[in-house]
Amino acid sequence: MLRELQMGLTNAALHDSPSAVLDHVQVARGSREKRVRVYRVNVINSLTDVLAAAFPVVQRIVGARFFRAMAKTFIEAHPPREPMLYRYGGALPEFLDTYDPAKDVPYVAAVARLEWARVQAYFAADAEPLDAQRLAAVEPEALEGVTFAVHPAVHVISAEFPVFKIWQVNQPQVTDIPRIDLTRAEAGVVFRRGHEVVQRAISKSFAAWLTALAKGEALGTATELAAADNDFDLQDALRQTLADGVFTDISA
Amino acid sequence: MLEFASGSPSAAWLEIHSENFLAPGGPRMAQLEAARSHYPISCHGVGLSLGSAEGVSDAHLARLRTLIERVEPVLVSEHLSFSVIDGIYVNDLLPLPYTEEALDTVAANIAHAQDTLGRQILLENPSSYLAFTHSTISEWEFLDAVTQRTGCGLLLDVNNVYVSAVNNGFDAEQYLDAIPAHAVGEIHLAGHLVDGDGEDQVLIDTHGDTVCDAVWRLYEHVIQRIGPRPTLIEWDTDIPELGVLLSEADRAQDVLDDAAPNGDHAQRGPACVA
Repeated sequence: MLRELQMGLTNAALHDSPSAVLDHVQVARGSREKRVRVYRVNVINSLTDVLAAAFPVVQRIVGARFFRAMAKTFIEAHPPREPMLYRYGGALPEFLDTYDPAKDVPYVAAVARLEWARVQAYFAADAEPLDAQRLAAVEPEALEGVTFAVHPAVHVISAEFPVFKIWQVNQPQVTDIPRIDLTRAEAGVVFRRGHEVVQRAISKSFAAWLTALAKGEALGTATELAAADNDFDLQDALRQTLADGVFTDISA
Repeated sequence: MLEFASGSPSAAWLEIHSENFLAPGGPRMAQLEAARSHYPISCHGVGLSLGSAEGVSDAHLARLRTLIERVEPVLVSEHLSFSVIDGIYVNDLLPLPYTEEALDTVAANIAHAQDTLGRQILLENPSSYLAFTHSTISEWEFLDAVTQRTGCGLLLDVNNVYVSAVNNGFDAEQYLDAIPAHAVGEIHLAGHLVDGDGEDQVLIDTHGDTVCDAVWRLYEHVIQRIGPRPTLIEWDTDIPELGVLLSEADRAQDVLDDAAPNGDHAQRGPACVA
């Protein structure tokens, strides 16, 4: 009996279908439906607030009313599977890819990916950044074979849209949003500097290089891959990533 | 949590929502680490789902155990409710029927949790918006039976008693007079929302307002009966200026002082830090 009752109340709260539980509900006065609905409202509102906190730019782009309606559909289809709600919402970018009502804002899923990367960066494990001297100490002929361990907070973003620009102009303090060329693709990296989540737009080739290194490719292979684009500058990429604490370790 | 990392606000102890502090690293964990060097910490969980017919998650228990080893809390508490079914977490404290079957389930889950965590849990009474026709005993009888079977303690939320009493039509004073005094290890106070009119009126536990007069009277009543207990004012939505919060905490302290004028064990705490 307990399990059936719990299933019934969960369905009422999550899917607004209280029929299985209503007959078993007792209240001091008033409507039983309204009492069951309190749980429905609590669940949807609290999870919507969790999503709104994780995806503030998405909310700003689509507006609060649209966001709440979208969130309700998302929550019903993808309820949390664990009680750590700072990890809830990772499925939202993919959900937005095919969410028909948002098709007029085709870049919103890409923005959601950037915002989710920022949330993950915030809660990622701590790790000491790599001391640049260790790379400098590698024999020149061994450099090609070096592999890197990437900091747990680092996320490489490759988007078909200028997501970093869109993110920037949709911060709360920006009131006058400039026109943006939405056809321009953008890549970038999200990382943590001390306790602050930082993002930096980088070239497509830089992103390809970093992605290859993060997958465990050796420096030589990653650089060859990136050099397919003429604009790749290895020294610049190394200097930037070392300064940003993107790596934590190397093995030569 | 940030404001407590420095250790400057005056507070006897801090309470955290355990599930907000299970990340492997990052700023929030660092602030907790800093705060815990200044204040005793109480870990208040909302995700264990002690009432689940399917049992509690061993994965979640393992995470809580790691947090407990890291923080070394003075108190660990959870709720008399369920929130997990088939691995789905609904993020609310859903009510249980008070039956023999539910009692067996809750007692087994608490025993398993206490064994795994290696310590006693305080069980908090929930705010309820409905009751079940299946129930054969009262909530206070249920709580008493659970403490006897498992040795767990109670986190008595006086606002929750009041909210449930009004919504479900029982006598809050009778409840407070019946709970086992020795088992109560902590008390919560909070504000609630009065929603709707007439017979559809329902009290909703929001933690977003001052403690109402009726709840203050019940608090005085129970402290007179059982003696002083560590008391926390929960206020985690529409958080007011610190002064409003402190005056609520002062009022609770006055009640505790009246019950034990020379006692030094009557502690108070600030609002629950998420």
